[in-house]
Parts: sequence; C-alpha cells; structure tokens
Amino acid sequence: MKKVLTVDDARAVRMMISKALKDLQIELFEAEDGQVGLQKVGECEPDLILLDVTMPVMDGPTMLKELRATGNQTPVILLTAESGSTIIGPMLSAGAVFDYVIKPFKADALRSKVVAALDGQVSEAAVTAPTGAATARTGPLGGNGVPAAGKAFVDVLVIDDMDNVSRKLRSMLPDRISFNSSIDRRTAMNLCRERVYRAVVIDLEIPDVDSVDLLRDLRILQPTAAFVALVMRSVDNPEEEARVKGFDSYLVKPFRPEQVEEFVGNYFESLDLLQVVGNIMEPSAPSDPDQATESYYRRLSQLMTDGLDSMAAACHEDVILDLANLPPSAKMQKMLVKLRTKSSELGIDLCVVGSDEVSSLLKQLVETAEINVYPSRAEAQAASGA
Amino acid sequence: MTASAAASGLNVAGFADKLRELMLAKIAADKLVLPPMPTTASRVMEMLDRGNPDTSRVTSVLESDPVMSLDILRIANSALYSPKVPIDSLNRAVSQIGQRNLRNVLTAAAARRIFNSRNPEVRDIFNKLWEHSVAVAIAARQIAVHAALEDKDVPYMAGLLHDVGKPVVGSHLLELERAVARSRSGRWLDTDTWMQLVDGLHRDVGLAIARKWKLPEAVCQAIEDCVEYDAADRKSSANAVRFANALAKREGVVAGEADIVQVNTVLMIGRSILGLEDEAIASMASAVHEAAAGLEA
Repeated sequence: MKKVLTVDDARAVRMMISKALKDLQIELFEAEDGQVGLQKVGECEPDLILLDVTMPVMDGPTMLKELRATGNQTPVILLTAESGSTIIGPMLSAGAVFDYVIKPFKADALRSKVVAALDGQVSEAAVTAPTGAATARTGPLGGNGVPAAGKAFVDVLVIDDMDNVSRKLRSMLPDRISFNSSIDRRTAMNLCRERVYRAVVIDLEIPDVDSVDLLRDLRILQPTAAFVALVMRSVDNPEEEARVKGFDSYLVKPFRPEQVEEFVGNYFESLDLLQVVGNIMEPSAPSDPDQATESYYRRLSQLMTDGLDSMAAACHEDVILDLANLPPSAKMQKMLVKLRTKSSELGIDLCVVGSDEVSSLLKQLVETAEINVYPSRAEAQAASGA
Repeated sequence: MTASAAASGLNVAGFADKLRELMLAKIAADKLVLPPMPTTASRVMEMLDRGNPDTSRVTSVLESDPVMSLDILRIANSALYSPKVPIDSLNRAVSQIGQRNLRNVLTAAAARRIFNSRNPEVRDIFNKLWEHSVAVAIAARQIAVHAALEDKDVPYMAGLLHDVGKPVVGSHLLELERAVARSRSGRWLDTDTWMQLVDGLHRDVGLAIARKWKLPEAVCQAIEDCVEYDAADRKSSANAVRFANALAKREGVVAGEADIVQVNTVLMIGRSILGLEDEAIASMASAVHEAAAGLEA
C-alpha cells in the first residue's frame, strides 16, 4: 500500500486531507511541522509528501531543503495558501516538487493530483456521472484527442431560448443519440465545461445573446465539436448566413426530416459506416432498411471513394467491396458506377461480394457489367489471390 | 557589453543605472510623452460610450481615416479575432465584429501602432513584443472562458496591453542613451541589458498609457496587478493575464530569454489558483502558437 505523509500545522487541514483521500487505497501519516515531518519521513518512508509552506518550528521550505540535502527525493505536492512565486520558486528548484495545490482546495483536485503523483498506482473511487445527463456516457477522448478525465460524452447539445425547439429535435433524432439542451448562455457554457459534445446546435436569434461570440467561446471549450447554426426558414441564404458567422453547417427550423437525417448522417454515422481491413471495404448494414436512403449512399459513396484513394496509395492492385449486408437497389447500382470509374482511374481491379440479385443488378449496366461478383468474401479473396 | 562601450572603457552597469534614474525621474515628473489614442478611435469609442450607435455612422467615421480603417481590417482578420470567413469590408467588420468587440479592435489597432518602429535596432524586438502581447491576450481570453471568469474582455485587453509600456520605454531609453553618450551611432548597451532596463521600468508607463486612453478601470487594474497572483480573488483578470504571460513565455512566444524556472513556477501556481485542467492548458498552448504563426504569415 502506498504511503502519504501530510505535513501541516493545522489539524483541520490534516483532517480535510484525510477525508479527501479516504477513498484511495493509501496509508496516511501526519506531522504538524517540518521537524516532525523529517522524523516521520525516516520512520514511514512515504511515497509522497503533502507539504505546507508556513509552519511553526520548521517551515516547508526548510524541511524540503533539509530533506533534499540527505539525498531523499520523495515527490512533494505543495499544499499551501502561499501563492508568491518568490517563495514557491526556490522550493521548486529544490527538486522533485510534483505539483502545487492552493488552499482552500477541492477534494477532487487534491485526489487527482495525489493519484497522478503516485503514478496512478492507487485505486480511485468511481467518477460520479454528472446529474441530469441520463443519456450521457463517459467518453474516451476529450479535446485534442487527449483523455478528458471523467468528462461525460454526449452527442448533441442544443442551445435555443425556446424549449420546444430542443424537444422537437430530440423527437426527430434516433434514441441512440444522447442529447442535452440549454435555453441560456450560462447553462450552455457550464455544460460545455463539464462534458464533451460531438455536435453543438446554436440558435442564431437568442435574445440578448451574440451567437457569434457564443460560438467563439464554445469552440474554446469544445475544440473537436461540430457547430451547427439554427436558422429560420425565412432567411434567404441560410448556408451563407451560417458560414459567414463561422458555423460548420446549419439546420433550418421548423425542422425538415430529410435535413435532420442528413445531420445525423454527417455527424453520427460516418465514423461507423464503413470498415476497412486491408483491401476489403465493408459498409455497416443500415439498422433500418428505410435508412438506406439517398444521403446514406451519398456518404457511403464518398467514404468508399476516399478508401480507394487510400488503397491505391498503399499499392493494393485489387479491392473487394463486401456488400453482402446491403439490399440491392438502384442507389447501390449508382454508387458502384461511380466507384468503378474511380477504380479504373486509379488502375485498381474492383470486385464485389454480394447475392445473385446484386450480380444481376450490375449486369444491367455497361459501366458495371464487368465487375466480378462473388457469393462470399473467401471466394473473392481466393480469386484475387489475397 | 557592446563594442562601443568596451572601447570607451565605460562601466555598462553604471551607465544602465544612470539611464534608469533618468527614466524614473522622467516618469515621476510626468515628462514622458505618451502616445495618444488615435483621434478616430477616440471618436468611435465616445460613440460607443454613448450607447448603441448606428453601424453606418460608426463605419462612416472610421472611413474618414484610411490608415485606421486598414488597421481595423487587419486586426479583424488577424489571429486576435480569427474569423472563419475573411472580413473584406469595413462595413462588414463593424457589423460582424459587433460593438462590444469593436472597442477591443480599436484599442488593439491603437496599441499595434506603438509596437511599430522604423528603427532597425529595435524593430524585430518590438515585433516580437507585439506577437507576445497578442498571444497573451488570446490565452487570457481562453482562460476566462475555461475558468468561468466574470468578464473575458478585461483579461483580453489587459493581456494585449500588459507590455505596452515596453516599446515606449525602449524608444525613450534609446534616445537617452544617445543623449548621455553624445553619440548618434552605435549602441552602448547590449540588447540584454537594454531589455532588463525596459523590463524594470515599463509597468508604470504601460499603466499610464492605459489610463490616458481612458480604458476601463478594470483593465488598468489588471495591467497593474498581473505581477503577482491574488489568491483571495482567484478568478481575477490579473490572474488570467499572469498565467497567460507565463504560458506564452514557456511556449517561446516572447521577446528575449525567459527564466524558465520562474515561468514554470508561475504556471504551476496559476493552474491551481485558476482551476485549469491540463487539457485546457494544452489547448491554450496550441492557440498561442497559432497566434504567433498567424502574425508571422
């Protein structure tokens, strides 16, 4: 078990520290000044020292200096109300000062720093999910692709002063898409400090709120989110309106089903839509056959076209499109015409895994008649020599 | 020590002390000529002070000053404001930036002029100082957003102007150096010594400029207080500027050498005082580099 020594003259502070760290699997020792602290270091050989600065008998800087003079390099977290750099700076220079926590402190902040100082070798209590986020889940990544420790991951945040707008959009989105809403700026800012969103939808006409200014601030808090403007249908050129104001895209209200579907496709499906392994591309089956719409095939076609480019760059001479999951349709046919043209340009042979119906479909058009169709992936691989 | 100083056998430290004394005397006697706020900017500020002026009237006043108009367009399109779509007309700049931000842009345009110099000896240093100031302003604003400060314009403006006294002091020091040394050519002070003098003298001058420009008292206060953290008022603008200043220095967006131990100390303390997460600091560091790269481009 890891050992932590608290050196602080205030008994109340030592008790608060003890309370803050009680959920960690550590053994806690205490000392009321630097002199006792040095003795305790010898006795318990701590893995970490939480050190106050101003103390009677022997202060923190003196204890640290004497400790380092003995060659002891136990990591130290300074836990103090002292914020002057002329006092803290020399302590940092003494070496192995892992971090600094200002008093009064938040238990969470201290706990996470202690865990980090002990190289995460202590078990920490489970992070409590934020309230009011029934659909939120803990996300693996935060801004800049680094872990956003303990931050809930939510798909959509809608900011509109009229509550009905978010209710309506919620009702039009699939249940699997997690959703938060806010009717004012302050709540929206706080939500964005606490959670990680994939898309943030902002009404351009919230009373007393400069939407451009709000967008600017939210981009700071949500650097990886897509920002979507909510524009009235009466606006002449909503795309231009959204673009000039710095948004990534727009939604018109009242909402149109096809536009909401496109929104879902753009931000919540593309990532899982196509799996690429080696020279094989396999689209995910639409969960609902009705979902295999124009926008679905448009996105799929774009992803597969990009996939062909990547395969050409990786020197693959042939590509297998495994379409066994997709129902044959005119849309599929249209997509394959485009992909066949692209593969010819790149000098890549294209074959398809699909049913007899797919084979018949492709034979109908000159552009796709030459594409070989195999009933299974194994047969396609055997034919291509992969 | 420079070649001129070495050749004369002059004690550079003594010379620097003499210059410091003269500068302090000038500042104390209020004899330092401070750059005024450009007239056009002042007029528009007054219009803004009176409340909600008509955009076309504001544009028309600005158009009467082509240099200021150009400065505003440049600032509005720079890293300081970073519009996603380039702003190509004054009218659009005024309407799109918004009246609240227009005040910031006007002040930035006025400040930028102070950092301009035709003197090749200091031009690069002043440009670096401006780059640093922009980086600090942007980081301070981000801190305000992350740490939920009450106001984000104040740390932004204070960040932009926290070093505004440096080019003024630097230019006056050059003049003094020449007058005292009775030489129009050659430098007696090496750049490091000159910068040390500037560092030690600029704060009061910067504050005097901010007051002369009638900037909000909160901005002046933040410029004055950003030399040390205020642990009692953790979410203060001055604390944000102090942290942002150290961050820009750590990231190398600075004129001259930074004391890295001091910088790391300030960052470590500030992170706890302002309650900033590592992820947010990393994002700010990126913004600092983007700001510097944007100004260089």
